[in-house]
Amino acid sequence: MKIGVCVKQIYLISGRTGDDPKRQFVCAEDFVQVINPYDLEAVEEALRIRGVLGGEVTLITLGKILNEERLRRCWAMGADELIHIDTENNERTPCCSKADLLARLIRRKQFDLVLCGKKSLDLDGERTAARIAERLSWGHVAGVVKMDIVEDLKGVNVQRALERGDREVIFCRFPAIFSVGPGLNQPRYPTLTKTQWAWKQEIQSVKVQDLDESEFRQCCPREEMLVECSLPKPRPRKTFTPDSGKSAFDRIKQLMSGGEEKEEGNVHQGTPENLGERVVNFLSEKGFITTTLEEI
Amino acid sequence: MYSYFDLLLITVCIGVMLIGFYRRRNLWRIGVEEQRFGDWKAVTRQFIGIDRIMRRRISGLAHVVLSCGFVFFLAIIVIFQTPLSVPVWLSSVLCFLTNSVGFGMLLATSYFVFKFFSAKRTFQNSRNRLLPLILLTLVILSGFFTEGFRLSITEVGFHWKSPLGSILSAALPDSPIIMELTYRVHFYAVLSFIALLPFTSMHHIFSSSLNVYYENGHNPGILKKIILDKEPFGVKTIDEFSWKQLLDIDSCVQCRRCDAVCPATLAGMPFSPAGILENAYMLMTKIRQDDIVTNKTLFPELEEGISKDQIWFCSSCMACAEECPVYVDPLDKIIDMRRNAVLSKAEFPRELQSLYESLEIYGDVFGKGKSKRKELLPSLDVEKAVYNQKYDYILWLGCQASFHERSKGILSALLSILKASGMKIAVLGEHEVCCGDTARRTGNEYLFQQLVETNIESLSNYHFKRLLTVCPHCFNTLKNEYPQFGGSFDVHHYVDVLKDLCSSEELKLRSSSEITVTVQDACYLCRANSIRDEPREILQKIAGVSIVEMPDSTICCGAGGGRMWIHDNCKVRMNDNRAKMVRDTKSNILITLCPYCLVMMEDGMVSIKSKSIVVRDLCEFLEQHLL
Repeated sequence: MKIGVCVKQIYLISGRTGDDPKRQFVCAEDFVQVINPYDLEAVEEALRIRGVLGGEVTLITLGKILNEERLRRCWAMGADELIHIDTENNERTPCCSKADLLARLIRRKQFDLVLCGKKSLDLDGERTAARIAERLSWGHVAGVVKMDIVEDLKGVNVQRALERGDREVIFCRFPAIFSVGPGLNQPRYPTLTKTQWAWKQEIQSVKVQDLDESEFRQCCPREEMLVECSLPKPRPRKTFTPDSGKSAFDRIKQLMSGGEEKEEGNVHQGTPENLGERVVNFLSEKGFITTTLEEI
Repeated sequence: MYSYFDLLLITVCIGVMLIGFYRRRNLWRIGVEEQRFGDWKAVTRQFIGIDRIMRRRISGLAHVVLSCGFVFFLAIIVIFQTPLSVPVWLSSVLCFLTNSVGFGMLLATSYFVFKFFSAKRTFQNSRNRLLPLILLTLVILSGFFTEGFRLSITEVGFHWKSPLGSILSAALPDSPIIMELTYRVHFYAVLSFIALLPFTSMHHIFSSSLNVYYENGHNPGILKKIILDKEPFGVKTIDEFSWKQLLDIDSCVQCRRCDAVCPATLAGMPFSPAGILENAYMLMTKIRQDDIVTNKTLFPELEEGISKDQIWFCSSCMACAEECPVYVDPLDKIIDMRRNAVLSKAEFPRELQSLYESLEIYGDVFGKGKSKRKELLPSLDVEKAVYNQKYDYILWLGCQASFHERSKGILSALLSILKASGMKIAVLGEHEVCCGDTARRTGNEYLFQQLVETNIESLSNYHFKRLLTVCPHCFNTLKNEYPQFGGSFDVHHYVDVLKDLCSSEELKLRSSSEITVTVQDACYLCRANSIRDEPREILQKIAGVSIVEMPDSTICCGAGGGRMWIHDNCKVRMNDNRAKMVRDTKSNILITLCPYCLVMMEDGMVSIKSKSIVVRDLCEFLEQHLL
């Protein structure tokens, strides 16, 4: 069984300690390059399926290689090969082109099953898997939290999490692509043996031209362009102002004490015995006296 | 004097003993090569009882009597085989000595036999332990009885040169036959003792002495560096230990003094350092001599005797290594097993995976990142080091002091003390990554070496005289383990600097109200680096403070060896146990010297619901008492 896993290398911002407002106060040290954690869960699931059914696991990554060490460590989890689609440009590739390139490679490699993370933590797009499925006309379920392979039917039962703990189970025949949601499994830690093996391997590099560039434009009818990316705009700060219906004294008191004085009171009526009882109960409730009524 | 049959017996017994020891030696030789040098002084010290063996007075004394007595009698027997003539007074003195030493040895063996039967635990190989003791008692008793019979026959009455013999002679009949019998018993008992030496617990005469001889001033706080070019990583099968480690395993006599100081055993965990050694010993002695000769490569795997979970209870406090009278180090074997588990099999407690990933991606144990280290600096109000300037001190913050909420208190206190004394220090900010101590002690040598490389490269860009650390783990690693990778720095823990400041009166301290304090010694200060008195000297400078020592003052808090991350999910906790010991001192304040101890002891105090004892770091306590 040939399984492909799309892994994305992302930047995470761990702080904002730069000086440049145009770069949103982020400087080089604030970035850490990691493999998208959801993709790591996808790799772990692929390895488990390979353990049950046998076959090969191939990792696919696209774009510039940001941190070769993290990538090879992901490979060292147990995948058999790693293919790198080299886009050779430093501008951001639009999502539909990324999906298109991945779809072409997947079709060429003839995978039975493709897994990827539900979303990437840098852009939160959540669209790539669906677009790939559209290109290839494959079955697709997003946000899978459990996978059960049904061997004889050549398919898989996948579970999705709905709101409030509901689950739905969908049967999907191979070939299919699934985007894997959080909590599917705990990605394994690679052994040193495997890490050293991964460093000795060669990453297969595929150029965009090799994937039939002439059809590229036609497959992407709608062009999407990034217009703007900005920090959250500061919200207007609300200042607390006291009720203008009160006197100046009360307003100042409210500002200083931070609260309002409430008048709490009950006017009781009744016989002197009743009233006495209620007064004693009130005083003992509030803790002013410790004797009870019986003792008096 | 000896018949031919006797001589034959003697030869056979000595031969059996030598072959036995040769076969034992073969067992150690299956291990990996290691360079070790010998030191006779260490052996002599142990022998005559001025070293660790005397930490338990009675057992130590009994053992010294036995070992020196054994040598004494051996010397006498060997010397008097030659036709040597001695003056009468010398022979009388020697006779008196043999009586008294023999009597002392009798007391000692009786004491050990008594201890054997009154021990609370069961021994795995009780025959091996009891048999030589019984034989030795028999040797001494039969010797005395022979002397009694001899004196009874020669009818000298009481003579001072043979007091016990004379006493016995009064009660015994003057029968030459029975004397011959007791003499024969004595002779055969001695021969069987000698022949059985390598097959009983008495083999420690040979193995343990050799172990002490090759001790080489080994510091248990410095772990062995391994080259990670090819498998095996760490130790999976028994022959992957070095020959010295196998000698260690062979030398352990299961005296269990290590168990008495191990924080895990004391807390009631199913772990003991002597237990690990015992299991390894069982595996080692199962190896057949034929397999060694034919160089068979499938030696038993350690997992067959020591379960996977066992090795993760250790908090790498080194108390076992410091206590062992024969200088066995259980820690380095546990670390080697951890290395194999982590590097070759990736089998370790789940809690450590996030620790490793944080270290790999962010460079600190909390997963905060380099930029957060940079963000600390404005609030600390301390200078950041630049490349071209020369500094006297650079302060190495460490992950705990930089990021843990409670430990930040240590840092601010330390900085205000240093400022008050006028010392100029600088910090590295984002150029500091974790020292790597936790990675190494949990067995991830690869990650450790990566971190060390990064740090040495960063530190080589700066010019400084001394590196000052806040955390004893950082201190031990930077001082003792970084030289293995080419980074030699002059590293001090803050307690050194504070002591210098206090004794030179640069720091003015006011007196405090009458309080009692107790000190939780940091493992990596008092054991690997012998820093024990300095905090007490500092505390004594504050008038009004009286120090109460805990009976076991250096028991670990339970945070080392990665257990800070693992211990949350355990039912039995070392810090709770330690907190109970602190509570029993009935002091007001517990002084700690380590950010890990601080957090663990505070948690322990909360857990045992003790509100009266306050936990403070030494810096925080001093800062409160600055003028």
